[in-house]
Amino acid sequence: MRSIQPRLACAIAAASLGLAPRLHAATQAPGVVAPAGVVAIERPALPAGLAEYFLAQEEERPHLRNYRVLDPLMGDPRAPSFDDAERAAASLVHRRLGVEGLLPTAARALDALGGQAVAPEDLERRLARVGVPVDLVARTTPPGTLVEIRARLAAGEALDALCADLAARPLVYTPTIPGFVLASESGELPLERVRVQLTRDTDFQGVGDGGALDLVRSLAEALPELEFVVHAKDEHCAGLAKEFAAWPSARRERFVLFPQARTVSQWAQDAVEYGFAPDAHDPLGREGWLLAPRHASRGEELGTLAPGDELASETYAAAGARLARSPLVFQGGNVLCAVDPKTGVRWLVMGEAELHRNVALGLPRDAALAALRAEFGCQRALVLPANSFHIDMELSLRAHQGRLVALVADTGAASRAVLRCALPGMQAAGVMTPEEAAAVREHLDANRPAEAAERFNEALGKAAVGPGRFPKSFAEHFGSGPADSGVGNLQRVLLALDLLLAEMLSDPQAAGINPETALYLTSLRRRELQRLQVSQALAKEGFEVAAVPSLSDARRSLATVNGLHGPDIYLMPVTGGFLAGFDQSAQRAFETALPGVRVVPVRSGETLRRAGSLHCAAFSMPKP
Amino acid sequence: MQGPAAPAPSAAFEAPLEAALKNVKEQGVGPGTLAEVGMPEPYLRRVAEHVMRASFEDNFRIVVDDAHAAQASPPASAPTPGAGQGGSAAWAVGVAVVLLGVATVLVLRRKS
Repeated sequence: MRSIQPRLACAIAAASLGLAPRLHAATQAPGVVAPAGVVAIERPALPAGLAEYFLAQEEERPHLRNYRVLDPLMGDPRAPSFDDAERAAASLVHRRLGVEGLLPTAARALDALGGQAVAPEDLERRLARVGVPVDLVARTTPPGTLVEIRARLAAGEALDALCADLAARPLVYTPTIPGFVLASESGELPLERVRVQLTRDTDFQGVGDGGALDLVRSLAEALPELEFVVHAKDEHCAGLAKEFAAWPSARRERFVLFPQARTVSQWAQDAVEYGFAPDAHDPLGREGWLLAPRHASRGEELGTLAPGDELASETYAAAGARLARSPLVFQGGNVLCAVDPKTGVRWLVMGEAELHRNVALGLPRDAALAALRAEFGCQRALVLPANSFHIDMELSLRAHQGRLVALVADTGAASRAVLRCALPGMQAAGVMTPEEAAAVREHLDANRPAEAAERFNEALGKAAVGPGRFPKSFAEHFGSGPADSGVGNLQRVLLALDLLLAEMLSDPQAAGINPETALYLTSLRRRELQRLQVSQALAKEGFEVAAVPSLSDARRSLATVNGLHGPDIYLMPVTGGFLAGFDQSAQRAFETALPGVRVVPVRSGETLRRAGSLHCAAFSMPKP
Repeated sequence: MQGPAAPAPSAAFEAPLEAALKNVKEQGVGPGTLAEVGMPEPYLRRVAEHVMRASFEDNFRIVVDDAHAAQASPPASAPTPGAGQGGSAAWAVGVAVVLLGVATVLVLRRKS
């Protein structure tokens, strides 16, 4: 754990109130007119070599699974140069770690490295070098476990018998931050401060596009008191400072900008978690902690490194934020914490990938689940299947009027709402008459999806220039202006029609549709079935399930559930423009599910087209 | 969802999905492949479905420049939405395109 100097801790506490004495001279980006104190630019002094460490990294999978950021033993993601024994041991660790577990694999690796030929004081280094997560051994077993394994090998104990004995040994995880509890995201905590990462200093298409910058603009408009911690590459900071200074702001130092040498991704949610822990300095646990994973990653299965995002976290820590690094692997967007208002039980709801990644590190399933629960200070855990990508694209949790509500995607309602929005575009493009559009609307309203889909499909066929291919001039009829992507909207319309077809056709293969399309529709049906199973699992655990129009399908998503909760408010991502009618139907559904909660739209269109949304991009750091 | 459960699909029908699963498993990870890491098959199959769907969408649910559209042949065989039915030749071409797309999607997939 990073030791925190009291001076730095005090400074960041003051910073959280917007009163920060600067730890290092705050510098103004060249050419920026002082924005009446709304923007502060911080360049904390980084530890020697830190920026270079992350600048040198590729956005690839680390060669060995035990890679841990900045770790003296396991901190190099590149392939090491092995001798024959090490190569054999590394291969063995790769194949055994996730199957046989941490301790048996350590024993086999040690045996492959020569057993007692490895000096006791060199055990950790040699094992770490071939991929054993020795830090996890230290965190889950009594001191001296590796020395004991070496001694038993040296005493001639049969390897398989030793491994069987070690596999039966319980692994009891010690949390990284004693007493740490993950900040709940179910609406109890105020939305006061968010951390965002901006990939550029201009809009993708224009004001209103819901891209990285416009999402922050919209968020700043929605909550005039909200503070922003902003990370961006150096070259974007002057432009960003200028931009922020031009926005109406209710407070000084509303935007604290941290320039860095490497670009960031937009996904501030994924590289760290946030929570609270009492300690000697802060007995009531009022100061937040950032808890970083073993290494920040993006993507599915084992994920690829995100060095720019790591540099952002470390830069923030260098400015005084309290950051600890876990030996576990997780992506923040795939982990949600909610508190049941009736029982006070703190729930950890996570996507299955987080569990599998930690099993792959050598923790048996139950031990991995217990470790994640302990690390995040939660009493109960629920693991959900990877229906789309992260679970925050699938559902949102909210404590409301004594109930714990799970807001899940109602794909059927969403697809119908999108198709309704599409009708004016179909008319404008000349592929549907007003009468035909009215007929489709009537079929949708009367819940006659087959008739609606058939008519819609026929009309689309007039515009197609190949199987599922449409000219850009046609797509332009689905946009409402330069900041509203007609291409993106048409792709959502095509998805909505496919979803409707998948809903209707119990056996697409037998319906005379060509095979590749039938397989696609079958896959969509399977996904919907899994979503139903998720809803049933949530209901079984006592969550009240409320369905709201929301679509999660990578770059074609309209994930209204990917928002942020605060007391009496839900910030809902919207696309606006051509699909404003869809947004409105979702807003009504949220208002019905959460009476008394103000549902506030935040523009997220271009962010959604990059397979994320508001929750992925804005990392809330409330105060308890 | 409406209607009875679908019958078990045939092996040929599921070929693109199986190809996606194979590609997911054969990804290089350090000294070996992802298949050796011990991640459960149902999870890898869900990942493969993501890849297969993305590949299909990247090939058959797309917007093209009008210049390309003008050169394209008319939609003689077109999957829904917006087209008719493909014969076996179209299926073979479709599968090949999806399989090729699977490999591309595997490389490209991540939040951008």
